[in-house]
Amino acid sequence: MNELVFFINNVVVAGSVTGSIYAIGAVGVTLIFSIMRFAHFAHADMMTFGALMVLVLTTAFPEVGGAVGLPTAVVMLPLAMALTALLAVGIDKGFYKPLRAHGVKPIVMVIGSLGVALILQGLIRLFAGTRAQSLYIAERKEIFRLELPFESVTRPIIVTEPQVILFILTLAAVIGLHLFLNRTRTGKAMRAMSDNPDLARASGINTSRIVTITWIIAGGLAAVAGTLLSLDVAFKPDLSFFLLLPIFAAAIVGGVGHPYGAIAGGFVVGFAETLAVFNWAVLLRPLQQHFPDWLELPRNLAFVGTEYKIVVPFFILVAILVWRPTGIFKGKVI
Amino acid sequence: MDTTQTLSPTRQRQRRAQWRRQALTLALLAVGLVAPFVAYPVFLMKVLCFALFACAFNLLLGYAGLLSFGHAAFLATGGYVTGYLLASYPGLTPELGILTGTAAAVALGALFGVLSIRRQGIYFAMVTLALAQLMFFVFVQSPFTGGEDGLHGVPRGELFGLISLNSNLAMYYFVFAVFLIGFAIIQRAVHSPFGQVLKAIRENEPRAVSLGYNVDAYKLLAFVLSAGLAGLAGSTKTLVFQLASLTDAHWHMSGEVILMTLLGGVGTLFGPLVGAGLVVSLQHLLAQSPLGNWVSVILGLIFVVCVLSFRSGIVGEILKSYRKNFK
Repeated sequence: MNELVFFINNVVVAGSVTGSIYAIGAVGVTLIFSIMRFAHFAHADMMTFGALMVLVLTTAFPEVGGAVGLPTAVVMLPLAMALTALLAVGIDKGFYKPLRAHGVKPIVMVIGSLGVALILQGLIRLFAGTRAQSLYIAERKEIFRLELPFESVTRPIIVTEPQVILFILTLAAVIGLHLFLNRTRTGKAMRAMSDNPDLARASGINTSRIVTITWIIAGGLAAVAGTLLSLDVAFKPDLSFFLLLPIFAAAIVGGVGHPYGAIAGGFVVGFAETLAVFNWAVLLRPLQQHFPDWLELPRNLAFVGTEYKIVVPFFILVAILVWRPTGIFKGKVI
Repeated sequence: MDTTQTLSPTRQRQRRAQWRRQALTLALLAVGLVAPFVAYPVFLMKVLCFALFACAFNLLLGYAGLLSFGHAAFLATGGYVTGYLLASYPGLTPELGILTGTAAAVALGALFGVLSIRRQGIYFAMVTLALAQLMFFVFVQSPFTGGEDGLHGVPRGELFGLISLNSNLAMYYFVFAVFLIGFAIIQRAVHSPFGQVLKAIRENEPRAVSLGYNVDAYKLLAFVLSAGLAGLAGSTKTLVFQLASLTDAHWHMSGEVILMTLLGGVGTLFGPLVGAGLVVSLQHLLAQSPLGNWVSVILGLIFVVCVLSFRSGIVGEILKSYRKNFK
């Protein structure tokens, strides 16, 4: 049974962690796409920016968390979300909005967002250096070990404190987004605009306000995703490099323009990563006695080596774009 | 009787355009031949390599309307293959090394092209980006690339086994010749019926299909041609600097080539040349100034300004004002 615990630790927990982060990022990408019809290449850098804001705030006030009983980084998250949302709205007002007013092709917007990505990345590297930094400054990462009440199980399921926070925040974000899109007037207006912008404008929806709200949501969620990733591992200025393609893969797998699809896509990509590098020999070894003699289990039976983990989302991205560009939920094709 | 009077106005205009192009090419040739006595040859070689890279990219974006986001993969493949071969087989002459590197880039281009060519716009950009990132990790992990350290000490060797390329001046003229060959291929392709069909596809793809052109085949050919020339640029660059590194495969390189083309003018023959010259000079200047760490930010700002208010690029704007004032 220890093998099952090993599976839960390495696949279920790890996959959910990565999946949640990708899902939150992909929701932002997909919302921006469905409202403004372009792929935002600077999104991963907005995530890094959000995480950097948390790092800066946590470094400035390392003791705040202790007073509330939460890690300081989590306490600072709402402020960082607001700052990132402000940045997103600012970039839109200063740059994307004039481009939209000119009616440029989506591909020009993409090239433009590449410039934004370069600027953000350069600034982040200027201020944060190049080394990895932990968001836990004054406190220690707590680790929970859940002992299972079975006799054959000797190893515990291991979940860390940031992972618990991550699950709670992801759940909150998904439920919040669902309620917002389905219950509020603004959310409904947003869905209307995503379906048909001209019709939405004709029926009296203030489309520029919807655009601003979209950037606020996307920026806020980007800050959450970036911070959660940095909490789980550490803050790195080149985080965006490892995030951009996975979140695009997640958004496209889920069908571009579908927020729920993006969430599903995030988990598909996250689990695909962990399943691909999981050593299946561990799970199969207890069954060794049932195998014929000539079949010897190799020590390591993973689909790809751990060093190629990052490549899995790229494969998914290429495969889905080549064979099924609408994604699993029939998204829009650009 | 003067022949120009018998020609139709369109033909006359074409004649004049052709004449202008030839004059410009001759001027370029003259400048290129004199340049190493005025400026530092290694810097000029860098400009020429990147100019060829940008011209190759422009063939795809400017004439076929396809935004590839993974051209760094071809540059790096050409560079690594040439570097590896020349470093491990001392008997190999540099031109054979360059040809093999280019061939490798062509093969990779054919593979990428087949996978990506049927997607358009952003999806095309994303497939090429994902494939290029795959290649990046292949280069990081493969033993023959030297991983994070890259390949060093690639010998320049003797051209055709006769002319030593160790002097920078000899190397410069060789690079200049390579650039001219590449540039001539692009110019020939653009002004051929093939180039006209590409432009037709860029302007209105459904119409090109309805006229009976096999659009996918044309796009694929343009992609492979562009990939091969990018590989040629990468191979030559490896020879010049005697090293091949991961910088060439990084997505920043794919971004830089977009910037060079955009700054100079998308869809103009000389635009990428101007853009590459400017970007390389800028990087050179910034690297020596206290603003060295700001390179990425400044490049990004130029990007944003270009996209915002300067979409036809330097050469494009000059052509525009020329047409407005002299026609």
